[in-house]
Amino acid sequence: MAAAGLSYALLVQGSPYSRQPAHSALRFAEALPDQGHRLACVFFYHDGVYNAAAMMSPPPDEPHLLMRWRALHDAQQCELLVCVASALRRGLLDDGEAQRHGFEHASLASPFELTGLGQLIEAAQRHDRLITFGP
Amino acid sequence: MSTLHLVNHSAFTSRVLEEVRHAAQEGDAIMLIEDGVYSALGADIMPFAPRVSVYLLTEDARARGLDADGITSASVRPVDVAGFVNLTAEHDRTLSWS
Repeated sequence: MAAAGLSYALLVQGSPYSRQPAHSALRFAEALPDQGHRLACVFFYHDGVYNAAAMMSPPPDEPHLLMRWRALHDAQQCELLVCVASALRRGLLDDGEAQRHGFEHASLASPFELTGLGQLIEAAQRHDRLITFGP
Repeated sequence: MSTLHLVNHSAFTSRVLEEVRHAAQEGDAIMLIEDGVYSALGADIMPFAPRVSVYLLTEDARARGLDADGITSASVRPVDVAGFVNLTAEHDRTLSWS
């Protein structure tokens, strides 16, 4: 018998459109409410941070991962947390970081937020389950 | 404390499943997703400890043409994504192997 009403955190480490972890995590996340569970947050780490690229523009007949993350956020009010150290290295900057580094525009999509690795540790401690979707 | 071992690489390209075989304890379960479903090809998946169940995600098997009768091992149980969610809830923790 499955435990009911659990709080979940997901960790996504894979790059979008190269391997499958973003798709697997989205499909898993979208299935949680029907089983009585709650998605609290998704943490994006390593190449997983590319899921937060604001200018992601796939062909119209392909899955738009950024839009699906946004829809997930709207549907389940989950936090979309991006490791700041992984993100800055890969050119994903929010308004504050863009300004600080002398760029005109941010490249991190809203509602993704840059956070430290401490948030991942906190998510692992605070929520009932942490599921990693690796590369 | 039971563990769900999540495997997303094929046993034909990665030795991860062999490592999982040594790590899995009685009462644990193995969940094959993504290319991990290829490990279920054939009659016999490598032996696991007693009372270790092996599952595969039907959506990923279907996407790879592995959903017809008899293609995957009879000892591997197919589950859909709802079943995958339930397995993560039933086990105390989920460990992802890459």
